Amino acid sequence: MKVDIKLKDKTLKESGETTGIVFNFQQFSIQDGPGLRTTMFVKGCPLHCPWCSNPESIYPSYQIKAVQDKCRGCGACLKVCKTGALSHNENHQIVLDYSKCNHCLDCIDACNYKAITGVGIRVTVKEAVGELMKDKPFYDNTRGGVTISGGEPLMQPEFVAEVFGELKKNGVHTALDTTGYAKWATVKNVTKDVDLILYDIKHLDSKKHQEVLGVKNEVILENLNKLAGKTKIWLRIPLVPGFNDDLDMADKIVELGRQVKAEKVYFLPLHRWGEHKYSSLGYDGSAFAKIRDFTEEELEKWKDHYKSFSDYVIFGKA
Amino acid sequence: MAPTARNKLLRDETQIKSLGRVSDMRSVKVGMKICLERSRVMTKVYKETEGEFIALRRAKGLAEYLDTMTLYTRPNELLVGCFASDEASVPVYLELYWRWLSKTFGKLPDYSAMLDDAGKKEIAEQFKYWENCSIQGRERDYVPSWIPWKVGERPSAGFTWQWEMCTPDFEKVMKVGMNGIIAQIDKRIDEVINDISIQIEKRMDMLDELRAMKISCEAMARWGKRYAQLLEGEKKKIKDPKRLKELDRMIEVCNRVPAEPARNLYEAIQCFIFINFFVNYIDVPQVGNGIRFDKVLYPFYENDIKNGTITKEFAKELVESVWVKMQEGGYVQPPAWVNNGGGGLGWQTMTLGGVDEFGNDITNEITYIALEVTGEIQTVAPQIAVRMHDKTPDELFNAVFKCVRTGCSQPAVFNDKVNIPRLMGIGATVEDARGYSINNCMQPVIPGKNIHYRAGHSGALILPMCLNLAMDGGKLMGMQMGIETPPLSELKSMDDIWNAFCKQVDDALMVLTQLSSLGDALQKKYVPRPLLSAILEGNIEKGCDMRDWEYLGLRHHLVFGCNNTADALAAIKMLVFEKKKITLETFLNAVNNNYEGEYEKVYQMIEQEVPKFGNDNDYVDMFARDIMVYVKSQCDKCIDIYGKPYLIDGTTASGPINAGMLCPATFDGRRSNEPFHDGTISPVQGRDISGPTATIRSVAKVDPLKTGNMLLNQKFMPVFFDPENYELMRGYMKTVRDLGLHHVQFNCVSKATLLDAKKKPEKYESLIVRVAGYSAYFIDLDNKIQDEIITRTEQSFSC
Repeated sequence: MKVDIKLKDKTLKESGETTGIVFNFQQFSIQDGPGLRTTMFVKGCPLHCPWCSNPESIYPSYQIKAVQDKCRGCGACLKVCKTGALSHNENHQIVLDYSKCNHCLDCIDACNYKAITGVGIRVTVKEAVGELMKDKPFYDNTRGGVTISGGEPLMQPEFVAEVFGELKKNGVHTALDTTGYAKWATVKNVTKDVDLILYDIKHLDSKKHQEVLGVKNEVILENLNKLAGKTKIWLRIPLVPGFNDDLDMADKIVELGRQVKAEKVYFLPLHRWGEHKYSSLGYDGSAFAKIRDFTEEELEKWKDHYKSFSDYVIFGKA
Repeated sequence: MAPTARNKLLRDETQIKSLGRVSDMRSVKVGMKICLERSRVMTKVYKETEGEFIALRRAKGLAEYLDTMTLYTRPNELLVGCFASDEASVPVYLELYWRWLSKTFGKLPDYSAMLDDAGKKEIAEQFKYWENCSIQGRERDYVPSWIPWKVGERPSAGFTWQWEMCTPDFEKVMKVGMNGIIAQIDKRIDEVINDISIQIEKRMDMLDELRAMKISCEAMARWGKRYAQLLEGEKKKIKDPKRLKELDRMIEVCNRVPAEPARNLYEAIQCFIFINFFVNYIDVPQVGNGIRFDKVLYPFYENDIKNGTITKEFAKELVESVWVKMQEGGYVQPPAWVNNGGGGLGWQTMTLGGVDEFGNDITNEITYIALEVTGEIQTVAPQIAVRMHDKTPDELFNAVFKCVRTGCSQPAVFNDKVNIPRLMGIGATVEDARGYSINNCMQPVIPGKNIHYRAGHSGALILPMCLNLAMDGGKLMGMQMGIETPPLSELKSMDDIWNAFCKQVDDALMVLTQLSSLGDALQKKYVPRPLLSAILEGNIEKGCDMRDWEYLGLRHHLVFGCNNTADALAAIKMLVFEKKKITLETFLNAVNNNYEGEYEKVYQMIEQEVPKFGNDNDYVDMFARDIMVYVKSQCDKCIDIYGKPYLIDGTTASGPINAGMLCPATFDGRRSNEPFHDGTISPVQGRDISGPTATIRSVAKVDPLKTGNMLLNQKFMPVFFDPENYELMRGYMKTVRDLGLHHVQFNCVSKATLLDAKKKPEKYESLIVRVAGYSAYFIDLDNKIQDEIITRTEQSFSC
């Protein structure tokens, strides 16, 4: 609801409390660290990976999403939209143009069918911890816990560090899913109550890194080296055809993993579960669309290559 | 591993001929026939024995049926047993019902087709005898004139059909045989006849009861030998030496059991089939089974292995044969029961795992064999119930997941932490409570004890209808169908509404209790069960029928739609009293107009603004708790004919779909004809959108020990039951156990598969799904049930 999102954002900002912008508390997460976990997804990311499966995480504040399947073409939203961000296609279904949206959120309340909803809401540390503690009995029985992911949690360092601190006090296993792209002081501070870091490495060549993702990789690699031996690390490499599907580089990353004493290295082949989100967010998904899928043979090749690494290198799941 | 070729073939055969499964809107299976042998014999013997003691009349009738019924055996089967004269037929039980059956002939083509003209003529003659003494119909002579009892006069009640179930002492029968039991009866007769301290009339009744038991047990002992003769006849038609050897073995088995004690696994299993078929299909149409399969049979298996007389492979084939045999059951159900059982199967639940009387885990090799067979053979029966407790081995959890992963939607997992205290709460000793098994789809009973679970022949407490009545002074769609409560104009607060709702619940429970107890009294007086009495603890000693007393009170009221009602109360509270978006009048009009036209807006408000049960939101979850706590407290005040309070039953099967089809729109945004939620406590279809753990937390708030809540269905994608997730899912199950849920059932298929199955049923004939406590073939289910399964929230987890 518009009022909640906007009002809450304003009130909490003014309150002086530590707050963060979260777009999902996902309980029963099983691929973001050990056991059953709740993953808190926070907004804002300094990288712009074209294959991002959480494109709603990139923009650091709240925004809207318009789902065509739910739209019945009543036009109520068009009447309140002052910027022309919303329109109908030839089938009278909603189309959002993010570039024109001014985040007034009036369309959320106007929509009769929940086709337009808000993404992201400001929460206090207490609210977040309350939500994250709900599945404590499940964490206890599965050796699971909480993972903070994004977006890039390091973009909201005070909030994330405080949440981790509170969880630690309550005996919850904590994991940080990060690109590692932040100042060392920030990384150091945020990870002091973290049991496990899921550290993404996307490419070893800084130029290529910058060309595709918008930032260089030196900071990322430096931070990783500094973390070595301090905290348990799992490296995670999203494998993307035409970008980093290079066995030689992959082997180097595995070697890097050994150097920084990573416990595991995961290669995660590209998936498209998030591709449909682009249009509902009003984003241009053409860069994603241009990325081809892996062939079965390629996937087999990768699996074969890492067979001998047994538990250290894992292909396909994290 | 695949099932043996023999059992695959038999499975397919019994699938094709499987009785009483629903397709479309039918309540009887096309091609199913009525066999008149049973009712012919019962009519004849009842006529001959006019004036005799009722248990003797029944015993004589059933004994004559066992002695004269046409027996058959399927080619290549390893276990025998039948209850009507041919594979496509079922008996009818005219001492229980005749009216609805007589009305169906001529009116409903499916029913008419079950008998040819000669058969119809004969049954019409039989009806004449039973008109005055069949128990369904006799209630008319006794029901208070101010109680509305016919179907349709009250949204909750209606005199219809009886569910009863009871689990015999299989261990004892296997140990001493029918002859051992007969010896015990003889001894008791001798004691009673000579004990002049027993009042003379009482003594006469006891003796007649005991003699009735003896007649029944003797007939049962002869029944096995009749199969031996049948198989001797089979031998003449067979040349294959391998099969001849098998037949010799089967003849040996049938000559032995059930008359004599079982000496090995084969005999024990055949003995189980004989007793089970009699108790469930010949005596009365009793659903359920309730054997602790692994606990009862393991000693025989262990002994056979020790002696080197059996291989694990053959033991497995025998277990497969039991599963195939369990598919053969079926009943003719009243037309009012269209969909209600989702088919006339016998809910043959096998219980596995759990603890012994000392609290030690009993998991054994038969447990694992049974689960393997379940996953491999994919029969529609039996249902499998696995008991979970603090000492359940990880390996058993893994076997459960492996079974679920096959897509057979089995087993259901029951929590000892709830079921044992629940039984102790109604008076069981700790040893007995630890011995519980699951009967029907989800009812905890204690095998061998004189417990007869009963529910359902008086309708169900449909909670959303009670709220509809409460909102309009006792009117439903303008018609006075409930007790008079204040009109809408006088409902000024949530308290007013809650009070009116409670009054409607009280009234519905009063009517249900009166009708149920009347049904119980008629059963007790006119339908004694001498054979079952003889194989339940205490009846021979007492010299009485199992219906004359109870070890534990297991009389139940069926309760539907708690969470629809909780969602409705949350909607009223939020939209009318808090946000003041609509008035009560508007809300009532919206419901009475099925949320159509201008009232679509109200529907959208409910959809979008009001929290729903199953998402761990106290705003609505507390309504669910309060409702069930209230219903439980009122059931405690309803007393059955044995003086015990009524319990709450969550064994709804597909009843909520049937009830939903007949009920108008409700205040939770449910439109008319849509199903209510399944089970007692599953969230309303599609409304649990916060993941499985949130649902578990919501359900855990409605404490099953305080409220009688039971069933939660959860649908998972298959990947969650892959070996790499076993450890995780074990932790999940252990948390479910720790949080004190009664039981959980998993449905593990993809939505795409189900949608495709709906389109191309011929390609998915063996696709099994679970509907509230039992499984059926998806393609055989009613469209509405198919839709319900598809709607059930897809809980996807990856981002």
